[in-house]
Amino acid sequence: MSKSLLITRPNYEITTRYLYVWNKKVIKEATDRGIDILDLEREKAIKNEFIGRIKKVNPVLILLNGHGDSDCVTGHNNKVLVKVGDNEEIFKGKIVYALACKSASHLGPKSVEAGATAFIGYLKDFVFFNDDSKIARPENDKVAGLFLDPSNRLSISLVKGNDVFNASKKSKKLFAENIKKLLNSDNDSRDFSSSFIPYLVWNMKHQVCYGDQDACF
Amino acid sequence: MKENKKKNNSDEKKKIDSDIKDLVKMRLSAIPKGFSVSVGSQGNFKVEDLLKHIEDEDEIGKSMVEIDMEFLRDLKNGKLYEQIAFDN
Repeated sequence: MSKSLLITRPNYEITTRYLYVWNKKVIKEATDRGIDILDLEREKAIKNEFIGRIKKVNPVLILLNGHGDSDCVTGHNNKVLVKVGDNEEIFKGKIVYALACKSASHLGPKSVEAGATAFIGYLKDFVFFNDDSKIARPENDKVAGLFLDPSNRLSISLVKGNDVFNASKKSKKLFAENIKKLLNSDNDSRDFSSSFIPYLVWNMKHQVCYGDQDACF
Repeated sequence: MKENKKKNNSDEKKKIDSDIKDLVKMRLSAIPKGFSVSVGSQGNFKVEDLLKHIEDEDEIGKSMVEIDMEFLRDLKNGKLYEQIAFDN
């Protein structure tokens, strides 16, 4: 029996558009590995669909892309998918990665308390820059890639079977590599790319994982 | 004396020091037009517009100041190097 993962990919404004496009790489990696994918894209990223699919298919890995707050993660049109005190027990027995702001600060620990195997997320806002000339083709946006590739590294590491601790470590390592690359990029006085460093450091240091660090997909 | 100190600390929490605002604005000004930043669910903002958000000390402005100042503190106290040091 093949493994399955559920991914949410709302796409209704610039931020979610970037996450939507960037996660195509994660889906390709999972597809290549024969993993069943429940892709709640665009308007399918709504609560009823989200809860229904999880109950029916019971995916072990859940990848959430969207907006969030300390106690929730949202989907299409910023509507809540999961919220503390409402339905965090839906994560019972699952590994969750939430690329959604602040969700690790309250939803993360509460999900683990409610039985989630592990929850990886961000304690503060996830911040990324983009090149406005690439909005029509986000996949070609190298500036956004500095921020979103390390997130993808985490998802892909989980898909490949790495444990939660090492998946997060690999993600942080790629953040660090990008930071070092930019630290060494100021030989040309017109190069402004080191200005992005504080925001990469911010994302890296606020990524946390709760629960079973040895858990694998 | 103690009371004065308490009052000053409380004032600091309410208002961002103008020198700090100028510093963060100056650092962000290094990024040319044509770039935007997504800050969580607060939205997507053109870099040149961030300067006004910082001046106004609204939520997005406060976020940008917090991020940059935390970075500068980490740089000063050496934590940055610990954070980006990966042996393997």
